[in-house]
Amino acid sequence: MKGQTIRKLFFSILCVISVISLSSMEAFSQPKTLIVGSGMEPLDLLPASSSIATMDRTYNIYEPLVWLNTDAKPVPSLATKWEVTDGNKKWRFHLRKGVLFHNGEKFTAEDVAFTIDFTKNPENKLARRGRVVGYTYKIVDEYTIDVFREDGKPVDPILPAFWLPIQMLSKSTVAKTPLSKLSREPIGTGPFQFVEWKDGEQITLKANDKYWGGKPKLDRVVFKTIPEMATRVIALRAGNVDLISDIPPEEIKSIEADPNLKILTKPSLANLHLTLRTDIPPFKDNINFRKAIAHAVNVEEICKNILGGYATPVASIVPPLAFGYKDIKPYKYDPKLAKEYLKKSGYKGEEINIQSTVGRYYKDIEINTAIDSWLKAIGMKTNLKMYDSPTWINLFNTKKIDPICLILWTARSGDGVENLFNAVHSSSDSCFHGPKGVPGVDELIDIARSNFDPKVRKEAIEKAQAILYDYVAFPMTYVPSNVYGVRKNIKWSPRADATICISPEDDK
Amino acid sequence: MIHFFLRRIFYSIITLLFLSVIVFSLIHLAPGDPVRMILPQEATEEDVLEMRKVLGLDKPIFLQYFNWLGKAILFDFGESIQGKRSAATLFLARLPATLELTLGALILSVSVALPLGIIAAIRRGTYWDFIISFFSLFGLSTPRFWLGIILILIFSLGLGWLPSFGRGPGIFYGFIQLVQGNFVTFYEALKHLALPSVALATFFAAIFVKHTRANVLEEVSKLYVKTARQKGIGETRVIIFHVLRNALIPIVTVIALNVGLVMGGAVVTEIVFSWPGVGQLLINALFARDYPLIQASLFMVGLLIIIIFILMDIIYVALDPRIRTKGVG
Repeated sequence: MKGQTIRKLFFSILCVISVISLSSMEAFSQPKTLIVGSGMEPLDLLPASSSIATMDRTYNIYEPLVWLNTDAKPVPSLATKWEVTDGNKKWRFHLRKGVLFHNGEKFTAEDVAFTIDFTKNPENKLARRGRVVGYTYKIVDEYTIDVFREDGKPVDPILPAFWLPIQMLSKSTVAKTPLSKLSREPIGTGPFQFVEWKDGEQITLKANDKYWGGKPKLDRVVFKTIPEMATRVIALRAGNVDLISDIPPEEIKSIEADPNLKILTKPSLANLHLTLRTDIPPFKDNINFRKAIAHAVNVEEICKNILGGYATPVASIVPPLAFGYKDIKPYKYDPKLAKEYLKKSGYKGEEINIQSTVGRYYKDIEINTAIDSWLKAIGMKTNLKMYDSPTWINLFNTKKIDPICLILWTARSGDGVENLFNAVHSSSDSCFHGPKGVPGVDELIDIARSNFDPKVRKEAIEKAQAILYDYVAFPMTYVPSNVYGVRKNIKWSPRADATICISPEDDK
Repeated sequence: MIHFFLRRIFYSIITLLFLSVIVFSLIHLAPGDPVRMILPQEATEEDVLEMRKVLGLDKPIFLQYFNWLGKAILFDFGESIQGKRSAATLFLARLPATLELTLGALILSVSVALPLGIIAAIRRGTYWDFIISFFSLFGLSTPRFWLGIILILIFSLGLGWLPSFGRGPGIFYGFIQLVQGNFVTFYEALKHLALPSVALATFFAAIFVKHTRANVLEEVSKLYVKTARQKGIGETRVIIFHVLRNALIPIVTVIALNVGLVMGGAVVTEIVFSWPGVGQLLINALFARDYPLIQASLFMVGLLIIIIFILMDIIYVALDPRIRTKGVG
């Protein structure tokens, strides 16, 4: 009887052990998949893209020479070292050895040369072509390449980081691949390689076992397309996806309240600013009018209440994470003072248009409506005009924007001079989004774009910001935070440039 | 008879030509520029001109139209500006999903609406009629995206019965698997289709209920029905074989007219349920001002609806022999 009991007990323990070991084996053998719920499906997976939906996927597949870490600081990627040579006329890149493309081909200087030519060729219709135009190269040896200007002038000090979107392509493969195929089946050197694209549904990537930075801990990354925000949040709460981005403030509380979820944030490299048409009246040569607007708009209120605290008021168009940011106190909200300045400005009640986007920027309608009401409150006659994104972009690029306009600009290179040059330098013809040729500013930007001493550059960028602040070039600026809803078990860090990049160390 | 269909096809070609002019001019007249949409904000005027030349957008608009039309006749709608591949291929890859949802919603709405409409008519003025009318009013007045989200909240997040988004394996593939004896794939596809088709079908079911009720009521009061009843034919037989046959013709017309609307409604439903159909593609294309893709999508949807109308004409002929003998449409 006793023997039978012991036998029974032994048998039960054996059963339990085998069940546990079987189930743990199953857990072990199941691939670790991170599922990202993404709002928009890319239309292509081409390199050097300017579409955030494309960049979210391709930044995991392709790699540039120099990468920016999550805080937007340049770090080695396919180049291990880079230095300026030949009297500031050449950038020399020392390439990483032993890097393989996903199809097993070796990465060498030939591939870098091919990538520059390929990106530059207008027939390939790559969005970031402008970044390589005017530059050429010379291969020094298999793992060294010099990049310099075609006209022999000194090179740009921020070029390594500025070329972040110039993703390295395999010469032998891409040269014989039609563009229509390349746009669907990218082959890079990155930590994840392309597996499959199910139209309108998902893009699947798998770990690159031979990745130079070590095999990724996650086996697969799946980007699922879920256009509707509410559905995306439900999918996260139901456990169908692991990570979602661009969460509106009103949804944040429901995610925070869920014990299985967490909110991750990161100050962005983007900067939203109110720009005034200082090239035409009434803002031309009228600092009092600009000051009136600066004191009439309550940027604290926008950040705290409209954006739910997920934005920071700043006083410069250089975002805090970018190189050269100067910490200045934003203009104070003071309607009384604003009214005084308005009186001094000689404003006679003319109607002034405010140009707003619809759904292009986060809460743009609400923010522009608030700005409109604050300006009306100090006695201005304003007219709020709303445009859909394509129309707005066209007006913006053809320099037909209204006198007051809210604009977002991202300094993707992580260097303050990028924003300053585009916005206010006289020779920047990209589009109007700041006063061009403010006395003293051009010279400072030129220093920051030609000098290679970080100290000198930083000083110049800071001084330029101080001058622009006194000039009231941008009466209101704020930096939004990138907000993500993530399942608690996910180990992942958001990036300042708002792309969703999965590193080899990320895990679940 | 043949003459009737030939004439029908001739009219369809003219309609398609009109459609092509409207689609082409509307999208080119709309403010916005596809080149500006692909290039980054920092792009210079030079970059823009270069890109415009590469894409052939620098030519006069009428020349662009005739170039496009010449190729469109051969089903070549050009290359999508953003997708860098054939616009027709991009569209056709998405079409099965939209057809699946449209068909699902149509079958569901018709199969619910017909019996309910008939019940409401023959039980006119009773509680049945009242309840059915109330629900059809609810269906007509409920915004589709709201209903979609509520359905997801209840059946996916709350009860956990159905998936919250996506198409799964797809009903067509599921059906092939079912024929081969694999029920699981078909069941999975059906589970994915359930919520989106209910969300899309509700509105149309409501419309069809109203029309069925009205048409059945009209037929029931006619003399031939009285004759049939007096001849001692059972009520069910009278309704199914006499009343319904005549009431169906105007109902089929209403359904046919609504096919285009169901497809249009599918766009919103697709967005809410992340359904990988043409709706999502078209919205992306519109926001990117991807002319070739928009033109290809709208033109092909137009073609599809015209084909459906011709099919409906064939159904009329089957339902009403008078059309066959008179040869008029």
